[in-house]
Amino acid sequence: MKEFSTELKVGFFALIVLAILTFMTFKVGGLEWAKAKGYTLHAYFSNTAGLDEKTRVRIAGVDAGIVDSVRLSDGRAKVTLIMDPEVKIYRNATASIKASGLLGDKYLAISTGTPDAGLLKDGDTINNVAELVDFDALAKNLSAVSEKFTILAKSVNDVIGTDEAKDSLRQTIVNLREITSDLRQTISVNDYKLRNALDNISDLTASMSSLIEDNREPITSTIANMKEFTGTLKTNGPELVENLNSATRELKAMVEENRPVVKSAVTSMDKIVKQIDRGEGSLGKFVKDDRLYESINQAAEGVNRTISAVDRFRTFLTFQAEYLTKPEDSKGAFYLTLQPRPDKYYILGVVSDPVGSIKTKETLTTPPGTLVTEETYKDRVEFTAQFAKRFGNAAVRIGLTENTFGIGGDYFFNDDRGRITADAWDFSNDERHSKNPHVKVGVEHFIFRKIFLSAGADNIFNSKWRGGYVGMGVRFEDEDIKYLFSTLPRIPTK
Amino acid sequence: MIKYVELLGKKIIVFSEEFGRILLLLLSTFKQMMLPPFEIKNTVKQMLEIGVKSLPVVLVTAIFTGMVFALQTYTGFKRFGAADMVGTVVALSMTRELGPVLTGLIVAGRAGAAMAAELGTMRVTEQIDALETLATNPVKYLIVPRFISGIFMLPAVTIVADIIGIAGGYVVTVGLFKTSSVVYWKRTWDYLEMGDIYNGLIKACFFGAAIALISSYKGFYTSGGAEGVGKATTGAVVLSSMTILISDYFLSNWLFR
Amino acid sequence: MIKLVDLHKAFGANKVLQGLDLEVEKGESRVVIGGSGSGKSVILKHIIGLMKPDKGDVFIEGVNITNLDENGLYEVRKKFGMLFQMAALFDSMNIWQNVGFALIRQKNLKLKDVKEIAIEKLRMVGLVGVEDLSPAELSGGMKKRVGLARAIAHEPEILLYDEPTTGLDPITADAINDLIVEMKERLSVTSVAITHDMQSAYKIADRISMLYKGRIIETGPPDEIKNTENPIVKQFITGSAAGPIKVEGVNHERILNRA
Ligand SMILES: Nc1ncnc2c1ncn2[C@@H]1O[C@H](COP(=O)(O)OP(=O)(O)O)[C@@H](O)[C@H]1O
Ligand SMILES: [Mg+2]
Repeated sequence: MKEFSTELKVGFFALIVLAILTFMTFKVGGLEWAKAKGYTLHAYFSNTAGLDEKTRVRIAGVDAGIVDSVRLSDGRAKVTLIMDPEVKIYRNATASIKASGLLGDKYLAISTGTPDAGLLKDGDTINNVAELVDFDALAKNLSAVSEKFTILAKSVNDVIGTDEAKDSLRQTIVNLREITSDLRQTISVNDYKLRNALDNISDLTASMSSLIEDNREPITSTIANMKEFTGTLKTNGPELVENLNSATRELKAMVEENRPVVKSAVTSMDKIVKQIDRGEGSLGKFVKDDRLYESINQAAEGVNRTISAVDRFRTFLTFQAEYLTKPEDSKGAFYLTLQPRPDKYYILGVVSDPVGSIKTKETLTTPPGTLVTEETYKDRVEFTAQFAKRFGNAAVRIGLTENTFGIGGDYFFNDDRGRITADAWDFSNDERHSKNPHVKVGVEHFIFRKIFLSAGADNIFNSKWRGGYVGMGVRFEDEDIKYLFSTLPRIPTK
Repeated sequence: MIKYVELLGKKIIVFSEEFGRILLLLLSTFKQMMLPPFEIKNTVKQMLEIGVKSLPVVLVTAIFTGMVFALQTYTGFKRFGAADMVGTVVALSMTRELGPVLTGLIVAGRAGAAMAAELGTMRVTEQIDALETLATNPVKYLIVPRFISGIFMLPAVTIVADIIGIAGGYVVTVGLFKTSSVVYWKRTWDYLEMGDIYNGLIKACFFGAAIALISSYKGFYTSGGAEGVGKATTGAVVLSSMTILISDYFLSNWLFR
Repeated sequence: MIKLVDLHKAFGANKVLQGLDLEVEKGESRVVIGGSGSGKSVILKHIIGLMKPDKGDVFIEGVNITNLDENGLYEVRKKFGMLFQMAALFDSMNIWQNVGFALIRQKNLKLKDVKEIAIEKLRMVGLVGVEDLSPAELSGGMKKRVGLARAIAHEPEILLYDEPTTGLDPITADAINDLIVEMKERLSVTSVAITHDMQSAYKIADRISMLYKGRIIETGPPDEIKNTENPIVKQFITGSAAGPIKVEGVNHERILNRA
């Protein structure tokens, strides 16, 4: 065999090297080349959290494309994707940045959307983008939140602080006291019935939720009506307190009216008792029996229990402020929680919503025939009035949530220091790109006895406003109000 | 005390002088590289010496390095459930670091020593003077081909070392630990970027140039007969290796940031 | 033809040449004699431009080569052929490639023709059938012959010999001397040879110059040198340790007494 020449050896080696280099280039960059044959889509993020070029695009965890470039565009990140040609993405697709694995490498996740929304073509933009919650930014904004919180607290103070308001508030409380004192009697008598009613309510909410599932459309319109109703209710906002006043007054009058009946009943009872006491009739003899005293004792105990309910009546005042990442604004709220029994309470609240509800109006201007979209932001102050029932560690709430019909649920943990909370309202939302109900889910936890922090996701089903929130609040049991209620005249036990 | 300071000063002067002469040699190498005629035959011969003949020892080193690396990382990574990542770690370390540096050190020890010894012998036996009297520029005739071969052959050997090292990792991870071969390759190719490979090869280019230049320099300026040749040879290996290890840090810092 | 004027060269503190003047005429065969380490090789290296003087000028055919750039130097060197002390054959090439080296590089000749010329030159120095051997396979005398063949291959005008006979047995040495004389006669080249072998010097020289302490202290035809009155030259040519030339590390008193 002939000895190979130097040139041949070097040339052969060069061939091997080229082959390896080609192989590795293909293996490493192979996907990229294949992807380059696909079509491009864009998505805009306000925070890519350092998403790199050449990272993978995944649908349901399966590689479906590659990030071609990440560029700045008007302060936002324009992410250009190259998708596999056979992958179909629809207009209602959502793009989000996800981290996978222990090492936290990022990828871009896409949910393809549904065919009815229409196909996205080469060069189109994915409009629905789930932004990452930037905790750094949130932490910084906490100071802004607390500032707003101070302002809110001040304005609440201002509202309550006026003599006028004080008067009507006092009046309300006086009336409420009277109502409750009357109600208490009625309620204690009708405890069983009430419980039934509550059961019915819970049945009702259950069937309502299934009803809502089944009949979204008609319900939406019904709710729209309800919303309109509450809307008008709100426009009369300043009068609300006054109305509440008069309503309670009427209610009181109503109870007052029935008082003679109750009184006469008591009187006749009195007579009977006297008769019994004298041992008149068979009943009288029966009463002489020791067992009767026992029964009376028991009855007295029952009454006592009713009275001690006053002590159990608790009132909470909650001031709360949240920072929403999406409108990038804060939301303040003031809630009054009336809790006659540990397992049920009423929540009354005033919420200052940065977004409020948005009405979209589209008008076709006559001469150029262009479509003009007008968005009106309104309802910056909203009202909440909910009835809540608690079952063990869980509670359901139903009523008015920020001016519209709403339902909610809470789960308490850590000795009630923590709360996972979910709310759904605004079922008739008709804002563009956010026609779904407003759903908010979050968690709260007390860090001190009276101060809690909150965080969660807001408006989950509406991509336009979808975002996170963090907040803090102060909740205290108002001893003064409690005192007002407890100075009720004692009801004679006999 | 004064004596040591003096010694230090002497060392610094010697070093600066040497550094300056290496730079001058580099400049004249560049100049001669550009001027025709081109020493193709000599270059091919040096490519054989530096590249092809270094292959066996580099390959053995690479495959065992890959295997040991896989062995160690697998044991460690398994403890926190990242055994899947062995392929990635082996591939990244081979392409970015171990491939170029190990190849550099081996070539410095093998071809660098040979270069210094050959040129040193040529110097002390006046062969270099003879070249000049025969109207041949020794820098062009002797150093340029070595320099070019270093620049081209080091990355060439490195890429082979890379792939062999990765294969070594495969042998251990899949063959010994019985993990999925699909996962190994996927983790290798998914996380490896062209930048890792190319920047590793750029490093190798630098190492190749450094080995060729330093070893040529040491040989070219040999004096003192056979003993001088021996000194030149050790000096070439030591200085090349040090240069590789030190410049590796700065190159990594520059390339991989 | 070759003119060295006031040449100074020092290596650090070691002043090797100190104002050396030397003029070699065209066609002349000059031999420079001097002790070991006196700087004979240094003179040759200055003539061919391998070294640059610290001071002084080197003229080759009227051109001052100390001011030439690299390319100019290479042009001048094409006029030269040099035989090195240890022959300095390229180990990486075989004999004919060594001999034909300058031809391969300087002229656009085919390798086959170069080999033919190389074989022809080898025959001129009395070597036949060695062209495909490697330098390591040759004896010292053969190496010198190959070195000579290489030096004359490109037909230079000037030949420089650095100790052509040193390290050879007397018979081989004489054969080399004959070869040098033959070259002079056949090729009519100008030559400068340096040696401390007086036998050789007398045989090949038209004129002999004595180098001592960095200068040429005497120049003359061989006969003149043989009968010189200069004690230094006299000591050198008679090869006596006793005399004005002091050899380091030797007890001169003892030598004198013995003499
Ligand atoms: N390149 C060099 N560097 C330093 N010293 C040198 C060099 N070349 C020659 N020398 C010194 O110059 C002196 C003369 O050397 P040389 O000319 O080779 O002597 P010779 O006369 O035996 O040929 C010697 O002492 C030698 O050490
Ligand atoms: Mg000499």
